[in-house]
Amino acid sequence: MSVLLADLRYASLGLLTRVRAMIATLRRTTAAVLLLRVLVFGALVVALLVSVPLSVVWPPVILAVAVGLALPAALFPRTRAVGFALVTIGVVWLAATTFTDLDMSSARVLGLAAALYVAHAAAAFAAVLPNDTAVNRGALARWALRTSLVVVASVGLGALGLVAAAWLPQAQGILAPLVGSVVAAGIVAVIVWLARRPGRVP
Amino acid sequence: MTSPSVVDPEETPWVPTRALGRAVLFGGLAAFAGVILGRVDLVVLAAPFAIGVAWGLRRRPARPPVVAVEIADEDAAEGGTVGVALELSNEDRVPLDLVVGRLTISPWLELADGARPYAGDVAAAEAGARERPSDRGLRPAGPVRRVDSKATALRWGYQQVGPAVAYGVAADGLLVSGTVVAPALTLRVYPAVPPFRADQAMPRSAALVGVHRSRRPGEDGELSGVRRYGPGDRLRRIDWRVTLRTRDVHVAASLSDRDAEVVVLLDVLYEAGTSGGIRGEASVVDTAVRAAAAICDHYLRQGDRVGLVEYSGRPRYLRPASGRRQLITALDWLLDTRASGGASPRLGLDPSIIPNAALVVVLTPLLGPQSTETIATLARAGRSVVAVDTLGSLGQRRMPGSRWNAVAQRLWWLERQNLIGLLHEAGVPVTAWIGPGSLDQVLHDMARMAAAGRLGAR
Repeated sequence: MSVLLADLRYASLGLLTRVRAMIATLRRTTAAVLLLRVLVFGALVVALLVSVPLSVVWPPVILAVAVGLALPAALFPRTRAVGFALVTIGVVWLAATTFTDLDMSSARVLGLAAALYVAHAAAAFAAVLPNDTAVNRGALARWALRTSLVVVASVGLGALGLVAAAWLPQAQGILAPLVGSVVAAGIVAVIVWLARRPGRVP
Repeated sequence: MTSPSVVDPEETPWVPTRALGRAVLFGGLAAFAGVILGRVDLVVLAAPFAIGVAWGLRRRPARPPVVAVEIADEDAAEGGTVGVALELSNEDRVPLDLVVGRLTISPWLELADGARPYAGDVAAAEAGARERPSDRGLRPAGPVRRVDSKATALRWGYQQVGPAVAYGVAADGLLVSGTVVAPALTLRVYPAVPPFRADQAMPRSAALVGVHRSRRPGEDGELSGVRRYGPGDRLRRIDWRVTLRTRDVHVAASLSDRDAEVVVLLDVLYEAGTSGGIRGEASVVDTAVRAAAAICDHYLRQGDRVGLVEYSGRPRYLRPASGRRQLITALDWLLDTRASGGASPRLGLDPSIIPNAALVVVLTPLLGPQSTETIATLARAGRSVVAVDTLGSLGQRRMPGSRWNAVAQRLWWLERQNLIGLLHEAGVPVTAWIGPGSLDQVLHDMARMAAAGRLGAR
């Protein structure tokens, strides 16, 4: 019995040490890293709230699912949690727009696209920074500027596409495959480019 | 002093991050679903990812960043500060979104703003910057982001500044370079010299130069008495008042001033206590090294000759010499002092390496029988030995555990007191290290004993 108690005591001491180390690591977290992670969390929560019809699903459930998806992504941006959250939200959007009468306004689609990209970009930046990194403010500002430019360009192009689809309902059946094929071709080109450059990224 | 990283770009290629895979996967899936289902909204969801990847990868760097460590001085005193810089530079013609660098530093060096990684963007290098002859291997060729800091030296010894590691981030986090490493630099941190004075005469002295009043008559300033004039006495030494009073010619006799030879023996067979650096508690080795530095400083400044001996598993010896150069050599020598964990020298300590006339100051915690035997051997060999107890208050600290620990500790303490008594009987005074005046009482006693021995011989 005494051996068991001693073992338990040592185990609890080890656990305590690990908890203390984790708290020490968290206490060293810098504002810039925290900001990026809060951005990942916030953008994913917004994206899920936008993609789900609030009239169909009880809001607390949506909030719980949003936190359940966004929190791991914000805490562990180097893992697959971010990709899982993005794909899940995309699937939820697809299901909601297919099986419910979710309002598919332009603002909603563009807002969702922007939120998903901001979450992805913030996670990409947070993933390369250790928790306690002192980040140069200029670097952070320039990253924010570049991300904003991409979002603005995407929202602009997306808005054009959506407006074109709305004005020419008969062209909607052609527009999506056409633009989608261009995007898909671009992505395939990127992959081929990455793979074929000698001595570079495999 | 600077230590830049030297890397082969082929060995540190830029590789895609998980974020690139994620962007391609999500963008591809959304675009594919949009094409299959004929949904413009899905294509709109894919658009920022496609644009972001295309924008990010339009220019890709080929060279990894360069990291360098710089220290303002190669040496510092315990408790002093030294400038430390981390330099992150870019030799590629593509600007880097981030260069993340981390400087690993000895735990006995404290950085002013904490030892945390730094990340900053670095602009693109000019064309041909790498090929400039003046830059090759010495200074980074491209633009530099420099992080300056102050490090406070908390403990004596050779302290490492570095290695520093860094990696670059490009294409908004879609590409990351391999890690580059700048080798560590070594900072010599000299022990803090606690205030120390020893005003008492040395029991023995050597050559006819120096500041110590000897017990031999000579031509120096210390008056020893008045005696009758004899052949060889100089006229200027005639004491006219005594001569007129006694009607016989008398001269003022004086003692000669001589220098002394001090050998400091550091007994570092065992370490006890935990070093807390300059701001915390001193371990036995800390006390020994700082005390040795103080003794060397004091006697060398007086013009005496000082030597050092390390009594450990790997014994070392520094020949006695005098002057400022010897002080620097002695301080450098002290930086290598390490406790040997109870391993004593295979052949013991040869007393013949210590000059006959030297005062041997043994800095010892008196924790093992080998130390006591060595001290006794030196005393038996006719050396003037003073033992300075470096254990201090560590010996009286209560040990945690059962009530039997206290009894065991008491027994050990009594045994140690007995050992100190035996050393006293062998003619070796033992004194605690208390800084200024630590040696005065024992030197006074030894000088008196030396004089008494000579009187007895007459």
